[in-house]
Amino acid sequence: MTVTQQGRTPARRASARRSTAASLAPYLFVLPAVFFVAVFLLAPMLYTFWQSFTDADGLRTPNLVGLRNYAELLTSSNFTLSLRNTLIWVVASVVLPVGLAFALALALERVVGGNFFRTALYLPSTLAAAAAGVLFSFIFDPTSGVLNAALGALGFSSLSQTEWLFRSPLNTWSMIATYTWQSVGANLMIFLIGLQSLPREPLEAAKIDGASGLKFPRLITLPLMTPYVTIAALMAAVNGFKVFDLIWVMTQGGPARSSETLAVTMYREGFILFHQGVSAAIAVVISLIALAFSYFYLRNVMDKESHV
Amino acid sequence: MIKLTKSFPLVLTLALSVAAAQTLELYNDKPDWNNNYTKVGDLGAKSGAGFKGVTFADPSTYQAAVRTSLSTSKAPAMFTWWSGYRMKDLVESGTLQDLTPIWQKYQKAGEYGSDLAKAFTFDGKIYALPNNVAYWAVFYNKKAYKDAGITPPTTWAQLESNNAKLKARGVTAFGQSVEDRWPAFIWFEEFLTRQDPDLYERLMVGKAKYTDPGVTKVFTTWKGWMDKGYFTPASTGFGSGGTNGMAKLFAQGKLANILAGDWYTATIAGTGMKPGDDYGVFILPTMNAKARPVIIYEASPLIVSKNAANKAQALKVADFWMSAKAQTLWSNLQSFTPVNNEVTVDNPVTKELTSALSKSKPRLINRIWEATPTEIIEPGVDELSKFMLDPSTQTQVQANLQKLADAYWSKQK
Amino acid sequence: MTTASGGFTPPNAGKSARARKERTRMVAGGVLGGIICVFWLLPLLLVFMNAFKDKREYNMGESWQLPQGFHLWENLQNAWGQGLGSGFFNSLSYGLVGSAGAILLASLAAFGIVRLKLPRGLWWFLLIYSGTIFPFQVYLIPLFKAYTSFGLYDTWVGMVLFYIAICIPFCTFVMRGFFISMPWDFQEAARLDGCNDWMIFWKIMLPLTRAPMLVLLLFQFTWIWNDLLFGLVLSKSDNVRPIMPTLAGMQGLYAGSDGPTLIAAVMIASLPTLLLFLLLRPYFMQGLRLSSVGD
Repeated sequence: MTVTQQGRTPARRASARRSTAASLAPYLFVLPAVFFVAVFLLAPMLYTFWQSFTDADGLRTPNLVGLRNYAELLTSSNFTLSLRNTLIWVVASVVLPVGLAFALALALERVVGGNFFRTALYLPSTLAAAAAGVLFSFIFDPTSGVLNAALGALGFSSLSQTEWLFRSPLNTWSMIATYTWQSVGANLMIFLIGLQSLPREPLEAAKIDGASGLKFPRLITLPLMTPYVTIAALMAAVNGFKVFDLIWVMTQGGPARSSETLAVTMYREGFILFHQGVSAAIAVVISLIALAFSYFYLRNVMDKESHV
Repeated sequence: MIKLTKSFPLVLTLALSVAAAQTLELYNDKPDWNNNYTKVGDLGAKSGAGFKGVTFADPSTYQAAVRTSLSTSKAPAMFTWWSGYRMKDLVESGTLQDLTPIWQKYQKAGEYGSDLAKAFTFDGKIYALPNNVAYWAVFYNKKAYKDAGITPPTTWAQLESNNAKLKARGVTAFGQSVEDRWPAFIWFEEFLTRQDPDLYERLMVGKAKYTDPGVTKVFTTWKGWMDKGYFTPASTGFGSGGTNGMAKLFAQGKLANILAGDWYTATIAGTGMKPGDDYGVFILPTMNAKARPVIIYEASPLIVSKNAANKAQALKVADFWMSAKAQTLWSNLQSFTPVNNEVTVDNPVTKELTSALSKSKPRLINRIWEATPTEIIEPGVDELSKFMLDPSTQTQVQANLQKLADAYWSKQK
Repeated sequence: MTTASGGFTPPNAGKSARARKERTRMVAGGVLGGIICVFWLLPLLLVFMNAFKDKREYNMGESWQLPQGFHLWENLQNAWGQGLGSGFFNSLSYGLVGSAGAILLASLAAFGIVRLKLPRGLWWFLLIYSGTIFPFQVYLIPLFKAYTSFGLYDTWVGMVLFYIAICIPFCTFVMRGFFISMPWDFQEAARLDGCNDWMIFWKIMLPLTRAPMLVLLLFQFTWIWNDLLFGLVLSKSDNVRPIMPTLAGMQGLYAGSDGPTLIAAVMIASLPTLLLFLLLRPYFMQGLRLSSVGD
């Protein structure tokens, strides 16, 4: 955020001769977009913020109740559990998809059929989270699912009865596995761009010096790839926060609310229990956390821009 | 929000260009019932009482959509809902149309009994028509019964011995599920009403405790059945769609019985089984052989909004809906137990249940989902799920349920 | 690893040992990649296989058994008939109009901010970008209320307007990155030739932005197509409701669709985004560079 566009690009001499009409022009270009965002996104956001201080139930006229909804959150064990699950999601969706994608990117760089493999690995990313959830519900089904059948066939009979989506915290991990399956492809592509845009000279030099095998990526590539890893990780963290469709389709946050994340808790409070005030308060909490992550993400991206 | 209108001319113009709906819409949250609503509506159209079904894929957004619009002129003319405490909420907001006159007309003609309307009556006024009255009974796989050499039980002792015989043949006796959350309450209410229906009634209104010995006994029976292997794992799916749990096991003959509302017959038929030939139905016996039979029922209301723009048309449709003509079509399309006395249904399993009901004259008991406050049973089913997945949590689950009940009832005083 | 290159003879035997080693690595990596891909796509195949079965075979058999008959076509027809057909075309129109509208408005905004040097441009950009920061559930209840009171609820226009709005922040982000990276000299030249701002945008800039625009189209179309939440909340009738809520409605107790039909429905719902990706793949890497990394 420390960077602005002004002063980075060559100044335009003609700008001094601008008329008033011309100085209004840029606003005309920006206004339609601002209008849409303000009306459809920011206004609802502000309304939610206001609602978090009320006892709205969707039926009667809401009354202001001050910070009561926030206080309720602090004392609710459901909220604490949901917060814990959300943190698991954020950490796991940074470590697993990003880590796995990084390993795959290195393994698949310049190999026979690499392009085909990358396309194949990306395919799950084109699926809707809802569709992926439906697919993996079939796979995780304890009685008729493929996974347990495969475990049984491989001789792990004690595992072949596992209720993947019904035991906490196993259900959260099963869903994270689904999420990982879906999102590795996109991260893989980011790293591929990174690998392609690495400067050639240090790599060649290292090869001549005899760095090879596993040592090679670790020694040379890793430091050069750091910016890409940072950005992929921050993006994964923001997305990990927002996961909703997948959980809603696979467990609805259950059983007994054990796999709820903040986004699901918020939906449940607002749309099932009609505690719309509490729901709005959770929304505000999620927004604040997401805002912090987005700040670091944007700063990273813009820092890079300034070096172009 | 009002401020927005001024800066919003484009949107308003566009919105006006969208023509107002011509046909009356009947909102519901049951996608697979929807076509049948429209079929009944098409029949009604011949007498000027036409309507069409509009369905919502997700029950929670459905409730939000209806609740939010009820106080406005955009209120749905007619919509399905839940009776009991879920309906009380709406009645208290003063947005529902009093339908007592329509009931009186049909009751006078002898087409409806007086019991039915009770589920929709608040302060002496009837605020809904019967959308469906479902009786909760046991569907059994006839082949599994024949192979095990058993017949539908008439006493609890026979039920237990049937279970043991099925188990010996490697067939699971009953299905249970926590999928979609709410099915967790099924066996709680079934065991409790078969053991002590009065205790159940007291528990529902806060005059008994979830920690009482009678309730503890319910959990003990439940746990006993689970330990003996009479139940499927709680992770089994309830429906036929999606991962296809119970109904699929039932069709495969791995599961002998499913206890559900009578609407479940359509789900079983969806697996390819033939009602009457492949499966039948019976009422779960009481634990005390001498006690009067008991059955859980679920009354689902069809409501007219007071504020709807086309209320006059809605009242016409409401009148038509109660008629034997409409109910004959509706009950047959859905294989529902008929609510109108002049209606008969062709589905053999539905017939079987109807005759069992008229023969044994069971005491009708309202389902827990409607009979106890939402604030208790919504989190309550999560507690029951916890028990079903891990019976060792019993004491904690009972304590938590009572905590929920205490929290609600203490606010009512 | 070396066994993987067993019968492989380098075409040029005179090459150095290092080149041979590199060759081995490429093939070994290829085999490894092949194995990974099989595992990766296996879940899809195992589930999709069930769309070939009929109801009875699916219910009586086990889901991992190979299909006996061929009933794919009737299952697809079933799924299509259960409302998926109308959802398909609704989503197609939302995806095309929504993403095109968003890309156009976002390009205008990014052009204004970067190329016309809007005063305090960064803050205007952040204002627009803030629309993508908050979790989507934040918008649901207020939007629903506003939509019902302004008559936008359950209308095609209402859906499109919202999809345009929700896609604008990300598009602006990408287009801004693209405009920053463009050289300034030809804009100067065009202005000296007497072009006004609008002509510069329309005649000079737009033709140059084909690649990022196609990728944005891919991303935003996919997003709109895959959206479940807003479709659920803002629509109800068959001629407005998008495809994903329809698909979600086919699952569950009251859905009344059997396993094979549901799986066939997932296949139909997944096809367009898949095809679009394969079609626009050449532009994909270029666009991703702009969108995720911004360099």
